[in-house]
Amino acid sequence: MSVPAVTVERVPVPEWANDLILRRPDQVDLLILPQRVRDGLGEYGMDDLVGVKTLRAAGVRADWAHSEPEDRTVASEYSADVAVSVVLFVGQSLAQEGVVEAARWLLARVRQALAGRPDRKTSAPVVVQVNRLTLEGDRREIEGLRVTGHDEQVVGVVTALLQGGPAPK
Amino acid sequence: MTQITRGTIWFRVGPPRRLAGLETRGYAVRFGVLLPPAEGPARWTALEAEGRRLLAEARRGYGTVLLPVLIAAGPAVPPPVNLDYPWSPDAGRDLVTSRRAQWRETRRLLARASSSLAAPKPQGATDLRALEKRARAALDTAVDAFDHLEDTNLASDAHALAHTIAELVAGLFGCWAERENGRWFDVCRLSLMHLRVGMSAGFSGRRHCSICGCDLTLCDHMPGVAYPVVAGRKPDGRCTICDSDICHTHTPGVTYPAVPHAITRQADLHEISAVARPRDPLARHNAIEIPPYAVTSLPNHDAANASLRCEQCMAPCTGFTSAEEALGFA
Repeated sequence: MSVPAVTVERVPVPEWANDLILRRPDQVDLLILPQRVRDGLGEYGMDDLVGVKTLRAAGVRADWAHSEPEDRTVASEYSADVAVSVVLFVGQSLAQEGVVEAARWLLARVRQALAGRPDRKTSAPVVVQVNRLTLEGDRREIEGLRVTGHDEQVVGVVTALLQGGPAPK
Repeated sequence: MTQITRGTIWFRVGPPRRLAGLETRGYAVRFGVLLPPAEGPARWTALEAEGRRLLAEARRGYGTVLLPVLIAAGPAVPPPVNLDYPWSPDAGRDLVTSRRAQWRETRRLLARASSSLAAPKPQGATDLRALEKRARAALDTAVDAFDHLEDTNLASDAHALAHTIAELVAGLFGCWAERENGRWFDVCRLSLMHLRVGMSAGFSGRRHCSICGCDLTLCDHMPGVAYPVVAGRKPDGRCTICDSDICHTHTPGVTYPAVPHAITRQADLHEISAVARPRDPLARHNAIEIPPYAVTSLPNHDAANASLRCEQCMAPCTGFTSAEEALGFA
C-alpha cells in the first residue's frame, strides 16, 4: 500500500486560537499562532520568530497572534518528533504577492530542516496548519487544515490553501 | 534510537558505562550565553568556530603551564605520549608505572623550585597554586573544545589534548573524587567527557537579541543574517561580538560581521531529556556517582576522613560510551 506524500486533514481549532484570531481578523494578512498557550502566554517557536520577521521584511502584513510582546514566549527546540511545525491564520486580504512570500519562507524553512537527512520518508514530518475564515451565509467560521508531509510538496499544498483552494471533503 | 552516536571517536574497551541507578548532576541549560542554532549548517559552523577558538585557548593554557614546569624540572618531565589510544593491558601498565615515577620526580623538582623561590618571590617564580589553577582551567577548556568539535575532524585533536593536559594535572597535582552524603562522585572532566550524554531542556521564555539586547520578537535583526557590529566590551567585560570573557580575537573599535543569536535570561523549565547531541554543547554531567561496588573493595572507604584519589587520567584511553549505551538502549 502506498503512503500519500502529503495529507490534509480538518482539525478542530482550539478555543484560545479562535479567540486570538477573532480579535483582529482584518488588521493583518497573516497571523502566526503559537504552538500552545501556557498560563496565558503564547509559546512560539523559533520558526515563528523568523517567519514573522521574514514576511514583514518582504512587505507582508504578518503579525503574532499575541500582539503584546510580554504575552509572547519562545520555546526551545527540544522536540525531535516534528521537523517543522507552523500554525498560520490567513486573512482574506492576503494578496498573491503575500502568498508567494509565505510560500518562499516555508520552502526555505522546509529545505533547511530536511537538509542532510538521508531518508526523508522515515524522518520527522513537516506539519503546517492553515487556519482560515469560511463564510456560511452570515456566519463566519474558522476552519483548521493540517498539512503533513516529508518534503517540499507540503509547501505546494499550503500555497494552494493560502490562495483559497478547496479543502478536502 | 537506531545508531550509536559516540561521535568520531568511538572505541570502547570493556563494557559501556551505564547510568541506571546512579545519582548524577549537571547543567541542563545555560542562560545568558550565546547558544548555537538548533540545527542545520549554521549550527555546525557555529560549533566548529567556537570549538576552534576553545582548542586554541586550551593549547595556549597548556603552554603557559608547561613552560615553568620545564624550567623547574627539565628532562624529568615526561614527554607527551599517545594516551588517547588504547594500549595493550601489559604495555599500558608499564607505561603508567614508568610515567608515574617521572611525574613524581617532576613534582619534587617543581616543589623545590617553588619553595626556594619563596618569599620574597621574584618575578616569574613558580606559584604552585596558581599553576594548578591554570592547568585545571586548560583541561576544562580542552574538554569544552571537544564537546563543540565532536562531529568534526578536529575531535581527535581535542581528545588528544584533553588527555595530555589531564595527565599533567593528575601527575603534578592529583585528582580526588568528591564525597556527598556517603556517596562518591566522579567529577573528573576527562572521565565525564568520555560519556557522550548531554541534557536537552524543554523551556520557554523571552529571547533577547545578542546584537541590540532588545526582545528578539521586536527588533529588526534577523537570525542567520550577518550585521556589521563594532567590537567593544560589555559592562561585565564580555566581548560584544563573541560574548567571550577572555576574547583575544576581536579588537575594540573594529567592525566585524556578527550574526544575531537568541539569548535567554529567564525561562520556565518544562522538562529535561538525556540526549546524544544537546542543543547547548556544554549542557552535560559534571558529577556522576561512582557505583558502590567499585568503592566497597577499597580499604577504609567508609572512614569519615577517607579520600579517594583517582589516577585514571594517567592511563591510556579506554574509549567513549554513547548516550544509547549509557542510558541502556544499546
